[in-house]
Amino acid sequence: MRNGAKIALVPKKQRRIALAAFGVIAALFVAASLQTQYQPFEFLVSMENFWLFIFEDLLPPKIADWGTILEGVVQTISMAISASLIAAILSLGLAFLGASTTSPWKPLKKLIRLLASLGRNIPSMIWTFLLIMAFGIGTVVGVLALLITTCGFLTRSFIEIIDEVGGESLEAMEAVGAGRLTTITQVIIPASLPGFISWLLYSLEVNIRSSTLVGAVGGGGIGLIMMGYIKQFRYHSAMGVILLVAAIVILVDMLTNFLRKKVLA
Amino acid sequence: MTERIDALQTGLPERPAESPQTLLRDRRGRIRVKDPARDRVVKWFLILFLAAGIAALILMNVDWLQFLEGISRIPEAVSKLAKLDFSQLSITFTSLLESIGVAVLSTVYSMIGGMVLAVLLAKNLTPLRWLSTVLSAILTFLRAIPSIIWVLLVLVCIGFGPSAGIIGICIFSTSFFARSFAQCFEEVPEETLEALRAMGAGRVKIFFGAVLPSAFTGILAWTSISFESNFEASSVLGTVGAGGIGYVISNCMTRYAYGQAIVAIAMVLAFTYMMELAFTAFKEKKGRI
Repeated sequence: MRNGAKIALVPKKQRRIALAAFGVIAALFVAASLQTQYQPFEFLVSMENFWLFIFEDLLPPKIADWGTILEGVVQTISMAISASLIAAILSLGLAFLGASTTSPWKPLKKLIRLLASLGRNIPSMIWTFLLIMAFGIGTVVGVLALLITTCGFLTRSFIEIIDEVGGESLEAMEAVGAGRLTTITQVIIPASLPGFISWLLYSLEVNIRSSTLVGAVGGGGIGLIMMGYIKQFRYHSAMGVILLVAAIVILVDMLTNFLRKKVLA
Repeated sequence: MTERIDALQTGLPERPAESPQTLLRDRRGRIRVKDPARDRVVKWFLILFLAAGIAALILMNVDWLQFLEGISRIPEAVSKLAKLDFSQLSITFTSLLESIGVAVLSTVYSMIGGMVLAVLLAKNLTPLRWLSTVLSAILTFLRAIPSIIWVLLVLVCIGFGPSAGIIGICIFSTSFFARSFAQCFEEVPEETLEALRAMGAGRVKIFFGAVLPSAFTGILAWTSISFESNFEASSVLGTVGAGGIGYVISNCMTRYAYGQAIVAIAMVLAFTYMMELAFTAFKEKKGRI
């Protein structure tokens, strides 16, 4: 067989894209390395310190005060669940006003998409900082910060799902002369419910993680307790809280995976 | 009671239909619009979720007075923020670049680490089955702790600077990449691998010749997702004591320099928004290829 007759394992077009992607990533990598002055092997030099820190300062983990910590855990989980619930209800309404197929008024659609983008593109920890200005430190701020980012994210996802339904079934409804409300309740909601629920479960997973972080900068709950321990150099207690957070996250992920299988089967 | 009736209806023997798998029929042989079994599960799920949400609101002991007072203070807060102050623009911009740099470096390093771990983790590529199981458990644990908390721990250990951010985010992100790359690798059809093995191709050749090219689209998608979340982490890790734009924001906030803080926040917003637009455009283009 001659060399020219070889069948390429990888299509030419894909090879080009791969090379371009590799080039972009490499260029960014070099630029970022120069800019941050980060030496990757510096880490290996301080490796000994690292192990010392883990085994002397962090381990064994300690739960200092079960009462306070359990209260914090309940607050953090509650923040996540209630933010997800309120965000889901609000986003459902906003998504119907913002989706191309169901929106009653074009400028309103634009406005809702803009607000959703604003909500999700500012990290929840920064929202916490802004909200503290008006609301002071506490779970109210935590819930509101989670609520704003979740709303932004869910509204966008719901809009995408509603717009995906469209097409033939909408045409059929139009042909039989159904109004906007009938179309929404009879076609769009049943068809997009599985998608809504799947995103809802995802937002719950995300919120369980971020409610600890939002808490750490002033949203209350277990995050604030953990931050307090770290600031007081009580690393054993901090590690206990961190392991507890990890356990909660893993449990919630298992629960949402179970629900996903059960509900969306 | 209605639940009982539902149960009775579904319990009744159905008339033989032409295609019982695809068409659900009711007692009189009419085609059902809804699937009662599935609807019931969904209904129960929604009711339980609503109940959990209300219980959460009660358990949280929300201070409604604080909430209402806060709402009345919003106009005041907005007017404070609206006094834009561009005096620190160059420092803010440099710290934004530092945040972007941290996000890029942690994404690249964890991509390399994640790729290696994914080969050991993927069930169709791993040289040792037990290694894959053990690794999977460790990575699940590493992923369960948010990257900001990892950064906090590393920060305590090695001190202030971009390294803490990069290493901390890498711990989370490597684990994330390993899991998602392994998923991409596992989707490569077994027949392809078998064919290459029959031709006498070694492990390395199989990986670069078949696995990597067919998982390519997935890898790019996961990389963009991870970069987005790594930037989010690197932009806020300053608020817990590391550097970058988050430090500028929290520093301005504690100095009551709200006008400077809002400029920094607007920069973060502009960058994340541009990133979102770019990745959406990329995704749509990818779909057409």
